[in-house]
Amino acid sequence: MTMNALRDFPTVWRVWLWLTALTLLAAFLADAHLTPGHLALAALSVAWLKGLAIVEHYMALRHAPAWLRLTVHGWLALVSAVLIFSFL
Amino acid sequence: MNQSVTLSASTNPREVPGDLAMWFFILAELLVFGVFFLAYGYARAHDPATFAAGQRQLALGVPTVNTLLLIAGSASVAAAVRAFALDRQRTARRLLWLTVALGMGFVVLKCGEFAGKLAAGITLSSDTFWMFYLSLTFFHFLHVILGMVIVGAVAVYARDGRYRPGQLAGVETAAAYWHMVDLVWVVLFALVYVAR
Repeated sequence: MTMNALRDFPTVWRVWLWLTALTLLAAFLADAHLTPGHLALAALSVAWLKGLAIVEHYMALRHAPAWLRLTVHGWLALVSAVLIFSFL
Repeated sequence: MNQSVTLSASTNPREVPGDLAMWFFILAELLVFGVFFLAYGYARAHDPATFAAGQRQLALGVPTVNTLLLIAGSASVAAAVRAFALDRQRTARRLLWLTVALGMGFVVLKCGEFAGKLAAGITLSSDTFWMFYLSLTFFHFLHVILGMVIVGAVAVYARDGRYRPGQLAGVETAAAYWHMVDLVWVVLFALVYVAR
């Protein structure tokens, strides 16, 4: 039943696959013997990409008023950027 | 199936998905977590050795599975919104309960992680890293539980068929809260567990 429902909703399915792949990539990076700065840059960049997909496709803010969309994207970008900077 | 139905199921392309009051609550939550994250970054930058030593004691397997559980929960609640938009009531309710079940999986694994840390003698006062780790992850843990309560309540209310095409504010509001919890975890997972 649930699988049939997901087959009917290709956007939800594709975004889920994308987020799953990025999560596994992040876990792989943790053991990839990168320097702390490079690992933080990679991990938080992957987190930002995942956040973009969640905000746009799952929260559906691409259909929302600009102020709300920009506020949530601004939060994600600011937090990601400052945290990356803190590792450099 | 009507493929033109959008994921949010909103008919107005510039409409807030769900209840506006919940969105102000979500923005307030994001602000609190944002301050928490930035405080973590500031503290780590001033004492990287303590943070690195603590992070080396964190296994990556369970938090990775927990991330996959929350992401799957986001997918199922997003699919539930779309199912209600198509008036597929039974499918939509099952997807909401699937979201609650995935959240329960997160809670069980997280409780095991907390129990392991407490058994190892780790407390809020162990050092700066463990203070941030315990407070940040427990604060988020409480939000997962609240998300499960909200989505579960919507699943119960949905039994009378109140969420139909054009009448989706309640389920969209619950979905938005769940997605916020997922969004915060995505950053938390990268910062606390991966960036070491």
